[in-house]
Amino acid sequence: MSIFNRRSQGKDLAERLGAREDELRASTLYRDAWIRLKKNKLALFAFAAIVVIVIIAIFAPLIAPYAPETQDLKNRNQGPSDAHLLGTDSLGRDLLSRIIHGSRVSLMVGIITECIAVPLGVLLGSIAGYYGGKIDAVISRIIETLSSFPFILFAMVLMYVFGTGLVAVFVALGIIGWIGLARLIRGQVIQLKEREFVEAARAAGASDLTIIFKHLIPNCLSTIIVVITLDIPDDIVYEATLSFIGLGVQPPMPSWGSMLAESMKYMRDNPGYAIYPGLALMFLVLMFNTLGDGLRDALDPKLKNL
Amino acid sequence: MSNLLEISNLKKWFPVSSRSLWGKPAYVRAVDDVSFVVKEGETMGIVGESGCGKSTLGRTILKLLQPTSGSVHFDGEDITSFSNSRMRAVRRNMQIMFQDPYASLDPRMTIANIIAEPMDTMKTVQNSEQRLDHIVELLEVCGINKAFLNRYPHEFSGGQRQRIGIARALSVMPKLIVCDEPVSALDVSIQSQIINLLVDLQRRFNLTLVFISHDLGVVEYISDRVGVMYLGKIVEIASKRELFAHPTHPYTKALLLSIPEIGSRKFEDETPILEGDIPSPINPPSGCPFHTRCPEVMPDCSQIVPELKEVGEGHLVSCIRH
Amino acid sequence: MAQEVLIQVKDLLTQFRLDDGLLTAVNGISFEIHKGETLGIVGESGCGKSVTALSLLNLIEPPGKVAGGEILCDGVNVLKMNKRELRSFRGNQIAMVFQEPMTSLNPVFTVGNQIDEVIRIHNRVSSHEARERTIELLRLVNIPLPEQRYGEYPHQLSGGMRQRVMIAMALACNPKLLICDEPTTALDVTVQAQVLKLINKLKRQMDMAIMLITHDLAVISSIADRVIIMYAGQIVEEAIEREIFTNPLHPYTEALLKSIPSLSKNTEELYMIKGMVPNLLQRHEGCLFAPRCEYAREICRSVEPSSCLVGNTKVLCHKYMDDWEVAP
Repeated sequence: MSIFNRRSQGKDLAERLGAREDELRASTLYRDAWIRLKKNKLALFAFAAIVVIVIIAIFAPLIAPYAPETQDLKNRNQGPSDAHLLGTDSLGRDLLSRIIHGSRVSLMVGIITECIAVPLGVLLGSIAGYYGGKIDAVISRIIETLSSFPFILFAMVLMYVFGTGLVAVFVALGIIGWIGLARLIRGQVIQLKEREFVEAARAAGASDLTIIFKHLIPNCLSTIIVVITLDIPDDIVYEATLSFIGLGVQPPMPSWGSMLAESMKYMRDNPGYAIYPGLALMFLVLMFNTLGDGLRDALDPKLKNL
Repeated sequence: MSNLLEISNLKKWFPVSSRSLWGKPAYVRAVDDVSFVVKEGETMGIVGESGCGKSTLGRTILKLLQPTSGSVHFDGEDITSFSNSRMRAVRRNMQIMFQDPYASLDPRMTIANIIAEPMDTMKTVQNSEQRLDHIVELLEVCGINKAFLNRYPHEFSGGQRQRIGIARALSVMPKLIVCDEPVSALDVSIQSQIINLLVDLQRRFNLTLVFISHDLGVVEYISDRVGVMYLGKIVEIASKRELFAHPTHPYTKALLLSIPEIGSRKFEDETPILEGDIPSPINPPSGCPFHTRCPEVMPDCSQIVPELKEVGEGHLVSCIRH
Repeated sequence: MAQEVLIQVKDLLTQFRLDDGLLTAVNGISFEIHKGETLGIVGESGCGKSVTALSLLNLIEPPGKVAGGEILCDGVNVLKMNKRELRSFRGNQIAMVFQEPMTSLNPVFTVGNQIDEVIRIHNRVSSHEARERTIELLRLVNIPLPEQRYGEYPHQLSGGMRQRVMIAMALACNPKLLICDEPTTALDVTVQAQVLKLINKLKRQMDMAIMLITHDLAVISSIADRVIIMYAGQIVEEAIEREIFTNPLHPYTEALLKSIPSLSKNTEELYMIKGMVPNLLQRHEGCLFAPRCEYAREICRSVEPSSCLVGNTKVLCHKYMDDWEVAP
């Protein structure tokens, strides 16, 4: 269908129909949402901040003044100085460099986890909602069972099976992450499938799969976008938590969570060691949440209470 | 004219969760033993109040709902037990138009894609050129500016959306269109535009219409024959002229008396009109379903289930008085 | 006409400040409601008829605002009342019945409780007295077995019953005017007939004025004494019922009447009003109906018509102004 679409737009089409090109332009949900989002200065700032953090993460080796693992045992637990803008840690590593490299872990966790969780959540949620009955019962019981586990306990069990490390974090977060989304999608699909356009599609001879992928999921898209931006900060905090208790990222790889854990021992001598990674974590999470709120208001003013 | 659609003893019962664990499962008898035929090229009107099962009937005819029992013959074929894949071929010839112009169009699709959906799923066009030509033609036929084809439904008014709904139903050139209250959500001035469009298209393409509505005025205007439904059953069926000139079933009479008309001060005096509400279709009254409200009720009415009997040429009434 | 004026509306202007601009829902309308009459207000969706009713009760909420005009009831301007005065005004003077009875009733209280509450807000009575009055009211609106219905919840009642409960609640304080906003639109024909009869009976019994708002011309013709036709926030025609329906003056009224399919008419093709209702967010020049009017001349598109009196009919149209014959 998309091939048809591309061909039937722009100048060619205008000529064929004898119409003006500007008549052909349609306002879409996303264009309207962008107009609304542009009015929300706070959300725009958050969006810009996230873009900057992503750029920093990508070019971390070029931006960071030192390599994150370089130790300088003579200058341990130093306060801020010209050589080390934010000071050094207990092994004399540059804090700024480690925070910059740590952003890679946080962003990666957020993105990869959602890459696992979103397809799972959308697919299972829409199948449960659309078919109902026994299929819905099975999926709903799985959701309930998984969400009744305390997350940390669940992660610990998984780590025990798969071993610790970044990949295990992705798997653990991915397995838990789809639940909330699946619940929301299921509810939305149950409402949507009663709408007449779904019946119209069926009258047009569309199969169940066509209905799910062409009608139901596109209508859930704004929910999905909002849920992703609001789930990423949760994932980032979970990773920090796991790394804090030693189950996540393993040394010497820098992560904000593991840095916080390490800093506990030196809290009195070197408060900056704890404060700066903490601030970085807080800032990133806050920016994602702000953007998520802004997107929610822009995409669907009705979803205010999500 | 041959019969395009033949419905015999059609039933659609929906199970409802019963209150007690051991009780017999309860059913909503939305469509309860309905039989009629629709000839090619005619407009069959179905009237009734809300909850009488007229919308369910429309969807069961199209097999969007699987009938509980009875049969639907379309174009000489018994489609009652057709599988979904076999139905796809039949759907080319039977389409539907909906009441709610806001819920019946997918808000995330352009109107070109909405209109083309039946052609796309049934693969009635070979290439994109043909597809576009056909969409443009349909837009013109239904009176929508063809330059709007890449717009989304939210930019259109209720009347224009109904036009888009008609274009979608027409896109595969069906023989039969079931119109489920197509104008009841529209304002008077827009309503007449849509009705005229439907009448015009029917003549042009020799369409057969099943026109479902609660508005007797609209049904009288558009239909050739009219069936009156009450609690899942057809109580009277006749040609339009006959039905409105000589209503025979007490319910039809009451219905005609209840409609407000311009210039008639019907509701001034104390003469009783129909009392009470429509009984629940879960537990319909025994015997004749109308006996609880009927002004001409007889003792036998609660015992005997009346059947449709011919009282005049093509005029069928289900009442034991006749 | 020597009828006593109950409520006088002068140059009412109600606007809504929306994201995409200022929407003038009611555009400087003036009319009167007489004691004991049934005034019908007809118009298509978006013509401002419901907003007019809400303005009468000073119930317009942001982003909407009554931007100008006066609503006089016994010489007092409703728009200038403080909260306490408004509370006693609503209910004692004017009460309102809405289209959707299910959303206007609170699902967690019994219908009896809800009517009791209204009675006790406006009168100092014991709960026992309130109950007595409630049951009396339920009987008044023809609800069978009122003692039993008193203890039932809204979802246990049918649509017609709920609308009767709403009417009973509105009558709790003997209002002088009952506003019914599309009271029968959600109901079936046979139930609608019952409710319309009830409204007629109550009007006679309680000597109330009724303001009936609907899009259904046939309903209006059946029960209204005087009719106001609204289009795009303006009153285009105002006359007694018989005049409007036998001798419509405004082209819009005429077109509306021609476009209804009705039982007695036998026309080959339904009359169509071409085009659509104007977008009230935009500024318009001349007559708002001109783009759809079959009589429209140059003057209609450029100059706004002013209201004139033809016989006893008030009409807003150039056709009836003095200079029509010579107009371009």
